[in-house]
Amino acid sequence: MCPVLAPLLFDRVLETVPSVGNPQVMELSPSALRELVSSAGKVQAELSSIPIDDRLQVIEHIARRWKQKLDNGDFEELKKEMSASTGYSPALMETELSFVPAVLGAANIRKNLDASVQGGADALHKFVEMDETEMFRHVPVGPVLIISSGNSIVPTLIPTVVSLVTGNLTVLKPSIANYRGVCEVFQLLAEVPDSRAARAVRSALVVSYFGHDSPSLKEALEELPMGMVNFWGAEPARTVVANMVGRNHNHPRFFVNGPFTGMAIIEEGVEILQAADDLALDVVLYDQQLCSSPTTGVFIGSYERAKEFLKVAGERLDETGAEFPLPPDQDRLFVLQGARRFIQMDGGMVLSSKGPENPWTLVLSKGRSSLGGLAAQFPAFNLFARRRFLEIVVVPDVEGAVELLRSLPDHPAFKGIDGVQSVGLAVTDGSRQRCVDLLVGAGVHRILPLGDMFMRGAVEPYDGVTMSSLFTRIVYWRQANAALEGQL
Amino acid sequence: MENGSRSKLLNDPFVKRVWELIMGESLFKKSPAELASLRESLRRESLQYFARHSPYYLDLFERLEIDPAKATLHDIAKLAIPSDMLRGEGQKRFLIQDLEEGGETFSSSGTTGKDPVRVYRSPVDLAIMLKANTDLFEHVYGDVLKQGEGIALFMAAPELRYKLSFVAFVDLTLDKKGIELLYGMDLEDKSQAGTPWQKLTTNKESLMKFLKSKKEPKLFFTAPAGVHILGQKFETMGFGQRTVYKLATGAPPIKLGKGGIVVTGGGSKGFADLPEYPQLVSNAQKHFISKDVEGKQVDTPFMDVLGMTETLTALIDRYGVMDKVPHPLAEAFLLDPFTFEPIEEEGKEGILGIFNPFTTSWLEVFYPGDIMTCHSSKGFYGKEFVYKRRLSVKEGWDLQRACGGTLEEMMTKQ
Repeated sequence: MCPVLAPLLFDRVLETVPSVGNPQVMELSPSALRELVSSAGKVQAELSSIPIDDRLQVIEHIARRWKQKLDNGDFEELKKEMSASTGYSPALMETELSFVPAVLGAANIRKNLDASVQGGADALHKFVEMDETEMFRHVPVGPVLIISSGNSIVPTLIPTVVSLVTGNLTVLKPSIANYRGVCEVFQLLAEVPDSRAARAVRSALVVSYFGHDSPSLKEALEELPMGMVNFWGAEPARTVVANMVGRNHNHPRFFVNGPFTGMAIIEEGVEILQAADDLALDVVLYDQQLCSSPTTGVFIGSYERAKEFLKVAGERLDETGAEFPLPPDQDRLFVLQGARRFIQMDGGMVLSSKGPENPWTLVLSKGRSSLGGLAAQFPAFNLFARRRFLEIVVVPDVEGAVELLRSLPDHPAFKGIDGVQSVGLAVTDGSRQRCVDLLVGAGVHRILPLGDMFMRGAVEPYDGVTMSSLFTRIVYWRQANAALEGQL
Repeated sequence: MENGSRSKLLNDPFVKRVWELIMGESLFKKSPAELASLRESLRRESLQYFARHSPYYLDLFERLEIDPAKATLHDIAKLAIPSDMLRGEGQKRFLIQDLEEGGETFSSSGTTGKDPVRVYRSPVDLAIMLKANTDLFEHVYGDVLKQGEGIALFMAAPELRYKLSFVAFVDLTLDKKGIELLYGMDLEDKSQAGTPWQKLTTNKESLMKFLKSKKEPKLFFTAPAGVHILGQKFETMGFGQRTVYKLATGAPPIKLGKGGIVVTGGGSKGFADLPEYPQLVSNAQKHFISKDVEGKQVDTPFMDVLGMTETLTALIDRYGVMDKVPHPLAEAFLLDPFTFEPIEEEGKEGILGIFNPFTTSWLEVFYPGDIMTCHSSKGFYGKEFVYKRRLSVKEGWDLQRACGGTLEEMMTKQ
């Protein structure tokens, strides 16, 4: 079993030291990190010379092994531990772990690379002709440092796997909450049958936690010749990390994923039960902690119809939420009750569950949000602290819905988000195109059917860019001048 | 009191009834069943009164599907607000349209870094506050504070009289009774009198006067930490120092005389190493000596007041005699911490909710964040409440502190 808080080094021997302020946690020492980064050229040259399908087979093996272990019930303890460390329901952890094989499946990753790498996935290990005499080859930009997101495993696996298969020496810093789960996944690399590809992938990955005041992390961000820093998270860490990377004279690329949120748009006239069912699923899965989760909604139509919808949605939340029970928490419920009452006293209509293990809350507001004063009175009941809590604002038309969407980053109750990443639609056929046309220009990254907001398609970009493009650069090779006649 | 008795609101039948009940013959002689019935009728009349005096409440009752004429305790539980909602200008929306000016605004310490809770008390509310709290205090004390007899020391600064409702109520009560009240603390920087969490220093002159006074009874008001610190100080005195102190003041022990009592308020919040209350009382009884009315030395009685800015009347207990009781007309209830439904079971922990139907400026129904239990009793209320703890602070959530907490915080900083 992987030690919970010690780096995962595979065949390497590197010095580890206790994390500053937390002697229970071991992290790479500054000198070890320097040594690791200095090996990047060799490691990346070897990995990126291996055909992409061979690399993907290594990852596929992890997927298969994971599934076997999951089916054998080997992760029961892990589910409990992760449920405790993340605050998610044990049932949700079960679901989360079952997503892992799909994320690591070779076919899915290949599809993603084919869609995102100009010239196709083969351009990751050889030059591919893009036009007559002109060729592209995508090479790693690493070494890559990924500071990954908090709670769940999957959003950590995705960038790490893409970074790895695109040939980068990848240093992954998970959070304390998901460290154990992430470690359990990647340590399966050690069980992949020996091959040149397996050795190359293993030599290209290190998983290590770094404390906030870690001298190693500081050196990596400010001094070491990193090629890419990928940060998943929100303020204030984002700006702190950005400033540190800005001081690095090697000028690594820096890309931030998040913080975003999701919005549900429901229109009068759609099948109410289906829409309510879909909304409930999107709200309950991951308890609105993903950037794609709906944390706000609009209802296009009349207030009376919206009330009817709210009632049905409450019933569906009762049912769906009961499948993912949360451990009741007196303090959280105290705060939640306060917020519910504040909204009621402020004129909002509140529907809520009676069960402390499924503490959903729906707020219905006319024309404008009722959460405006909430942030001032209950500052800690912010977007990141809210669970299964959704306000639905009733608007007369699609334009009103998109206007609310655009204003969300300025809403005090949504402080800290950059914007709306995902929009879940349950609208009539007659409105759909108009709605999509307006959303295209409204800053959103994903438009999806309601009920499917959490699901990522294999070819999907991330926050507006293809992930492979973050971790690679293109070497352009023109073999002859002849082909360019007539071009500028 | 005089301003209250001239209030135009007394023309309203509900306010008139409340006034007559509060100012009339003792409510403590009524049976628990009679009082429960009285509270039920007041609950309904109160909601009807607020619906008459504020469109806000009319709309609120409608939205929450509450019929004032049939209002139950469950309805009251639905209307209870967390004290946090009264921070800053939070109370404004709840005030009636024809609010009377000339009252006082009290506020909490504001030490949490957020706006303090601020609650306006109209002249009629102030008069009710004074009478109701005095009646409750005397009932728990077991005697009437006689006009002009005795002396009191409040381990607070006089400036707090205009900030904290507990200090105000004690000041007003004793003033009305003609009992001299000394303040045992000074604000270090008086120019900052508007911020009660300023560091306090002991007013030695007041303390000496209290200790040397021959008046009886002596009433000592303080946060529990105040009693504890004083006891510790006595215990750590060397023989010589103790002798000199005794020659100068007559203490230790502090002789409170016939009917002397220690009144604490504010709980143990903000003072991590404070002993449990029974231990604190037991320790302090070595240093505070009282006599009963016949002059026989007894264990010094301790009363504890649970009061906060947002409640017009407090809950008071007398150690070893009765647990905390509210005013006979106040509705104290416990809410299930998970469902927020009222709970009836004895001994089960719940979040304390308070509804004061005699408050006329706003519908005073709230929960401050105290976990308590209750048990049946033979006393006037039929049940008594036992303080357990404050809900803990998680994820940056701050809970409203009771006013006594302010005193404690200030003492801790010394």
